Amino acid sequence: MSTLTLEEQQISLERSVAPAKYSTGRLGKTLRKTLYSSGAIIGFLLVWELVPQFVLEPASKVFLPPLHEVLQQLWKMIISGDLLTHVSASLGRSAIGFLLAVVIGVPVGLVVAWFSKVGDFLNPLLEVFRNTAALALLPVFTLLLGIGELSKVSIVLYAAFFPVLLNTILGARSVDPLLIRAGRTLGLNNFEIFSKVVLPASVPIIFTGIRMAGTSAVLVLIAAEMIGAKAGLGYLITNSQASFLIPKMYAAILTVAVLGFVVNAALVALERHFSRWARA
Amino acid sequence: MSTIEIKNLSKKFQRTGASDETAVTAIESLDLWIEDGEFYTLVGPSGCGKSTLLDILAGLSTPSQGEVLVDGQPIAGPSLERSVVFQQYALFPWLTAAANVQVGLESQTRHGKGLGKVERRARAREYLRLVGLEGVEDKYPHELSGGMRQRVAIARALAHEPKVLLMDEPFAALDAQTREQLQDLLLEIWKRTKTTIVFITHGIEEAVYLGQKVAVMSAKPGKIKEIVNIDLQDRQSVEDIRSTQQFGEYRHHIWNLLHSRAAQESPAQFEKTLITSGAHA
Repeated sequence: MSTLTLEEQQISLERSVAPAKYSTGRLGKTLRKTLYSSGAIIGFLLVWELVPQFVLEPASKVFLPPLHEVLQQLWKMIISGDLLTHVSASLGRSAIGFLLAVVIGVPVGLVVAWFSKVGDFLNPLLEVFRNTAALALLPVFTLLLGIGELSKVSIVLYAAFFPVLLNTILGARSVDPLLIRAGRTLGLNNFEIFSKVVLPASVPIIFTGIRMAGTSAVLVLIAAEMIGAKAGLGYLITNSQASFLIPKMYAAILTVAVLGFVVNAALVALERHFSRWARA
Repeated sequence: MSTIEIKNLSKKFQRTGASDETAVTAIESLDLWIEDGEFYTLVGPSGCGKSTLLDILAGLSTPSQGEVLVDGQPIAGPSLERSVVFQQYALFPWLTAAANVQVGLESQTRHGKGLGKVERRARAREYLRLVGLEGVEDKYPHELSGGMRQRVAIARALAHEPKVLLMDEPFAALDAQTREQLQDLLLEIWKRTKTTIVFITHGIEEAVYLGQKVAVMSAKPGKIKEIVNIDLQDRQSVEDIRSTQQFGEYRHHIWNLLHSRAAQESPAQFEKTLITSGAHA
């Protein structure tokens, strides 16, 4: 939503500038566009750098170190390999949970959609589960599965499962019945209707679910790691805070932000790739 | 060899759980005999059950009463012998034009009496050329115009060489010029392939121009009102055959048949039907 409004603002801004400025050419325009769209981020980073240096009192500066200190710390952690350990711990857990969610969620969703009575029966329960915040169940997972990897992968699986499942059901149910009729007249049997019509037709909506699942997989995992873990970015954040290694804490937070951004961008690209035929 | 024999056919639609009285009768005791290789058009107002009839012929729907025999055999579900062209194209949007055309061919291969991969590809290209499309093999439906999409759909319906081609208002969504082009294309294909064609329309002119026989239907419940034999010379040998006196007489006769019935039913409804018919003719 926010990017859309930003683009709209951008368009209205471009319209308001004098026509003569367009003569700077395509390159200039692209450059201005890029500068404009990253302007807010640059501004934010500048505030982060300058406010602790010139505005904050030394006592509070300890809790909000300027950006360059955080970046220095981040660089140190990259060199030492410390960061990689934590990133790979987090990524590994979320990837396993996420992939399991996709591998289980898509087939289950297709079956539920195909047998509409099963879907009608299960739907209320699924809605309840979906709307229960995954983290609220973390204590349950910890009690049942311990504090090891299993409980963390499970909570990621839980958080990622419902977007995949519900979007698969939605996608498979919203297949144009005309395509199914056409498939039948072209000699497809039930299984082939399913694999050659229903499945491909629902791919764009399924991938929307997969993207949402990927985002929540990362979010939930970080929170879970903050509560009980020996490695991972969530652990790194709380552990650094407890040890009063404030720049380290911020470096970890920054990494989480970048990771979330990259995961989302990758999944958006994947979604676009698989639904390119749906752009009419 | 493919005759279609429709005997005392009725179709009622009923909401599940509702009683018999609330059932809507779409078709009532309909009889029709379609010869092998015939181009048969069915014309009628909205709600005369013509699409329901086509569904039954396609095997997508079962009759409530009576039976339909194709070459003496009752219809048991959809079959590659009877292809359907739908009004809304119904192409698979995730497949290229060539891949769409090959869907029926692939089914044939899976059932063990079809072509190999290379031959299927060649056949698809051949049929795309037959419908006047070249160089669009690798295009997706959303990259094609409505007329081109319907051409692909016709190629897809014909590529596995069915005995019967069923067409459900296939040109209704197209602009007038494209429609005329596709009508001529369809006549040429019919002459070349000798496929039996059942063509549904609510355009009177379209029905007269294409059909050797026009079955005029009436609504509520759907029945055949009259079967009109169209005895016109080769459509494309005469310039603008639609403006000849003979064509006009056929058109007017069918117009009257539709008029009398619909006027009794509800004048407002009839006018609406007529306007849309005119637009599609």
